Amino acid sequence: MAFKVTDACIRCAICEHSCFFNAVSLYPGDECYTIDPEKCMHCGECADDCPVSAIVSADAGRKRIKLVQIKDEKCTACTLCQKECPVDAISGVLKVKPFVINQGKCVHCGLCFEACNQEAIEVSYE
Amino acid sequence: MKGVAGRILIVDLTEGSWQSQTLPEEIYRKYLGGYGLGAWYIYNHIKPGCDPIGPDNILGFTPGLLTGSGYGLTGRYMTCGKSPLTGKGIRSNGEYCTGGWGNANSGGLFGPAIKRAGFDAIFFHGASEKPVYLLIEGDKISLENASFLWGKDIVETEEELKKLHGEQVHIAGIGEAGEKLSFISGIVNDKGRIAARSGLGAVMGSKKLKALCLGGNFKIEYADLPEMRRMRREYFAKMRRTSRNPIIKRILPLMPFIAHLVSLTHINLAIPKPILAPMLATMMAHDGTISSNTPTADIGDTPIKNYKGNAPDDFPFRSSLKIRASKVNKFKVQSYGCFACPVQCGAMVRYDKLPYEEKVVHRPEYETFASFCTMLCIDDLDIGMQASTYLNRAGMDTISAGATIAYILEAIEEGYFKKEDFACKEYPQGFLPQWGDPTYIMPLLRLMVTREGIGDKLADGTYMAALRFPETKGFDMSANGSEMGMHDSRYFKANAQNYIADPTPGRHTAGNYDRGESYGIYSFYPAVKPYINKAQTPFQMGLYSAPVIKMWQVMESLGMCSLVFSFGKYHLEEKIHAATGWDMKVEEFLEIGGRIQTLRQLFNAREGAIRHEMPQRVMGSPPLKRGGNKGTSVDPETIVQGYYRGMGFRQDGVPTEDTLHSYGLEYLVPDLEACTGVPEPLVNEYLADKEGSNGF
Repeated sequence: MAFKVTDACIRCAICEHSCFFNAVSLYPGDECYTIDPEKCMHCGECADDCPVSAIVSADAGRKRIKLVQIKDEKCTACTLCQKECPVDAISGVLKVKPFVINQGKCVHCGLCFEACNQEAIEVSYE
Repeated sequence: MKGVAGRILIVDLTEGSWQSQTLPEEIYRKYLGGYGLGAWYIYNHIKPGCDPIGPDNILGFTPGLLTGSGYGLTGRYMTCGKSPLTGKGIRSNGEYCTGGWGNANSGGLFGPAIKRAGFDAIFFHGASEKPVYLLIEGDKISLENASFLWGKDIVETEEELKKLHGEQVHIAGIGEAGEKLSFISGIVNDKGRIAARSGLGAVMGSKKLKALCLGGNFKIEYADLPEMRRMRREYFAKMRRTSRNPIIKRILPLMPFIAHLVSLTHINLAIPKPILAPMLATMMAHDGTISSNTPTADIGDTPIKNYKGNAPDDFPFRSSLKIRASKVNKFKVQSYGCFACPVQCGAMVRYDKLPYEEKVVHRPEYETFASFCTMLCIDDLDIGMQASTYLNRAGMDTISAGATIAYILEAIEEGYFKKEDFACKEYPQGFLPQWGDPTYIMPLLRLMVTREGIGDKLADGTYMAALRFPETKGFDMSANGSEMGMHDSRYFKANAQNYIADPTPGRHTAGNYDRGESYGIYSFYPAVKPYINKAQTPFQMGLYSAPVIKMWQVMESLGMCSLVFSFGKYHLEEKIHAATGWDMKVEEFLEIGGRIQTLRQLFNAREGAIRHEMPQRVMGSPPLKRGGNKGTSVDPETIVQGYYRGMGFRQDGVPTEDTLHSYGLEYLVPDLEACTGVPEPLVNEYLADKEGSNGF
């Protein structure tokens, strides 16, 4: 499950602009924006950006990621995480450590965590 | 650098190449974004004296500095370049001026899409041989063949491009009017929001650039995002409350009647400022700009019958009731707003009489109803709906098109055009449109858009039409070549200053004394209050408009809607600080505003496009005998002289050397040699007879 838009939506389009996965769209004739659960990565940027607090998590059990970090000792500098990152927040060169996540850019989507096969990425939840 | 993408895209259409250029923070701090950034780039890169519809012109798409930040009412973008419509004529040095500065403004979702594509502005140089469109998808930039789109209207173009590139792309482009280089064509985005004024659609058409199709996921880094989100929430909550005031909402249907009574009694009803903000906001949220449809003809704000008519005789109250907001809103299916707007003054309407498959269209704005109903004395809202949709799809400015039709109708009335002159495929015998008759308005518009028959000569607006039919000179109601917005300067006198002396003439949304005084610029930004004075004379009206105009440039360059001033306090300094990290105070804002206005004025001075041209009729010479504007006249030249003094320009409109130095523009001082100002002062003959010289 993903985030969803409630009736409080005023169609200001800020969420559409915030989403990095093109998951948010307004269908013709609709009163509210819709979030495609297939595309939503549960990063929560849209919910944070919504000026009228109309976006809530549809899955109360699923926690949002608060912080993503790379454990240098396990990292093999394979660039898998870098390729997945939708906002180019991970800097580093193939086979040259360290790989670092720019926390200012990171949207906490967890894609790098899923991509890493060395368990080198550590996430902490809210 | 925070709060901006930090780079602009420069596309050379002749070569088919493009490059991204990073800009230093200093440029953003001096010019912000929007047409400030556009004026800086275009002034420094354009060849002076170039043909506006030739390859040397530069066309810019510039979102405001705050566009995309999500702050309320900052969703606008501007198009800018040298206009083919305004400022044309013989310069005081004997050369011919081919056009002046042009910019037009539009909302919707296209402005933030430019930022999301990763650029603070996109500039087009040169001209392509074949039709092309610019495609940005993520990091990929390309110029694609647009031959299959050429000839299609903007709705078809948008649908085709979305089929090819997905629903998430945002599109702005030209329709048939722009392709056929009509000087009154504009650039359309979101299937019907149009950057209409100044004829920049023709500039885009001359470059064979059909559309911009932008996708992308660029994320702008802000200085303090949590603080931005907090302020955004606070402002949205405030505006949602203000714009949905239940008491005012109940009074709204009565407004036309109240306004009519007020106009009958000739009372100057000053609405207290604390009530003005919720009243305007609620009117906008509920009815949009068409809330002005009905009271304005009676009080004299909307021009009638090519500026020679008056409400009691030509468009009485019962006629204006037929186009009132509640009649139009019967068709409303959904409200619509620009990006990050808590007010949502637009709407989508379902109008089944439209001859298109798509029946849900943008609700026409006040300017469209004013130019096709009130101006032409047609008390039928059908023509407003039909003309608005047709012109939005074809990409033609509704204000200029309506004013051009008013010019034709007057010329017909005076016997200068015959039925046979309008012969075309649809009407081989011709037709004869008349005041108050909607039958032939749409066929006439079709002739103008397709340039068929006489339409070829009328498609470039009233100024060009009057040059092509010299015997009709005197019926063309244009200021410096551009048709004026539908706000009569005999009523709002300060508008006369914008119409003739703003670097983009003819605009009804430029800053002036009235906007500072009546709408309360200082309730929006209290720090500016010490700079605002109350005017007693027309000269002071111009003089004291200077700080308002400077703040107006800041507002436009930040990407704000022109209504934001009316809606109360905005916390401007704090918002800019959270987005960019800059600490800006009122002195810096005024300096930036002055710099932008001076640069735009210098552009016109270098081109020789500063001219004060306005028909005597529009100045109230002689004054009307009946109606809201009975006995009123305006002396624009005196107001403009005050404004020039306030801005530090010479009496002929050319900025002085000292003014350039004060804004850090000393590198432009050598350009002053090539500058020419107003060829001759504008005299209101009626006032000159009564009071002698008008102070030039």
